Amino acid sequence: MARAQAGDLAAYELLVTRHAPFAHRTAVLFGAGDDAEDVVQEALVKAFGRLRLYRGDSPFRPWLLAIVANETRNLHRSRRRRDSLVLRAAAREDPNGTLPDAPADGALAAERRVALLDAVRALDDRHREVVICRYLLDLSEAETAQTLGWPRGTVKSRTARALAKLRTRVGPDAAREVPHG
Amino acid sequence: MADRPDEELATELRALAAWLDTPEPPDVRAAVRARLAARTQPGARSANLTRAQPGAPSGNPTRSRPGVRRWLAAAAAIAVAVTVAVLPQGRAAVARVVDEVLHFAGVQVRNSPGGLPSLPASPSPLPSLRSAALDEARRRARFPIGVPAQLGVPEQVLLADPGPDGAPRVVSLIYRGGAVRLDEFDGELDPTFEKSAVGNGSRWVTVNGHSGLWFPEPHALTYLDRQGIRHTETARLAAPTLIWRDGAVTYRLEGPTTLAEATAIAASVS
Repeated sequence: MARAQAGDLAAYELLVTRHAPFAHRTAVLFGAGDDAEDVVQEALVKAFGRLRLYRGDSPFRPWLLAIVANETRNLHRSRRRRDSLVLRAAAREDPNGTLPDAPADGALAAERRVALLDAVRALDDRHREVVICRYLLDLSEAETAQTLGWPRGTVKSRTARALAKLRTRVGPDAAREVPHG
Repeated sequence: MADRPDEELATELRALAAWLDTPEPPDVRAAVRARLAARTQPGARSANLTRAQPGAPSGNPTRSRPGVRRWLAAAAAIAVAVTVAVLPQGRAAVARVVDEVLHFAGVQVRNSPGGLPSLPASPSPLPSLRSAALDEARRRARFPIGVPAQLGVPEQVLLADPGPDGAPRVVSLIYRGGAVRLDEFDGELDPTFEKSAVGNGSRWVTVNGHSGLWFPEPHALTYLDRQGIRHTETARLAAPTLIWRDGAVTYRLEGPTTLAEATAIAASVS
């Protein structure tokens, strides 16, 4: 890190290797669509320029993600469009390679997934962003605060509010039947 | 107590993440390295892209690029089949035809019998593009900058390809999130843009009493620099465009889909 901060491109490339894939996923989930690669490139170029300002008292990842999130917002402003999150085309193919009703943490029937994702899409920006960070990217509260540039209390309250909104929209999962046998 | 349902929903959302369609992360290392290397060694940049920004901090030159580049890419996405055309050739007083290329007010119009030339997947912006306030654009440009009252204050003002004195060669006013743009440049000097595969519908029109050209179909648009060199990396698919000239200034209005809308906007420029 110190070498990268001193302007060493090779040292910076190690950081790029480590963090670019997650940065890319973040850009996609924030709605950058096909421009995610551009966003990540731009963010990494900017991050290098600002590396001297990075103080090292917080983790590098959310520091970088804040730049990625910001670049994605700039992108939305410039093209007035956000690419929605979409489910995989092979929506019935379990990404974990297990049967749909097998995971212990509660299987999501295809229908349920669609409804849930629709509900996430329908959230307003700040609530959607907090859901993306906290759950879809699985960031901690502190990381989310840094990524979105909000105080931690705000992350907490907006998370609670977002979950409440989602619940009224999709209802509880409990009694839902899995449509296939 | 809301904790338990919240917990369940959170778990579901985390599981949902695995079902999202996210493309494989590309390897951006080479691209980032190249851009950073170009930035740390300004001399390594192409020589014909003169940049005149004395005192600009090194972090700034790339600032306005991404948005615009993406906008260009978005414009290129309006891919519609383009038919090959014969451009009507009247009004020789305002246009000359050399080697089947029509020259009009700083724009070259070329028939392209083979259809659209191949275009870069992600076109580059005009050289040394940066955004500025309208006031600054007016101060720096060597030609008067007209603003269409009908569209109001531009969302973004872009200056491109500055000369050694810092005066931009092209000033662009961006509206509707990039869906409409008005390029302005001195049409009495060298040709600034080349249009090709302009389609059957292109025709002469009158705008505010001046001659103009209307290209209702998507066509290829390429930037020509001061030396007349075509910057093929800037070639992109342009949306319907109206070109007219008022005094020394050539206006290139891209985005309105009907001639009526385009001329109404043009008439409001002052």
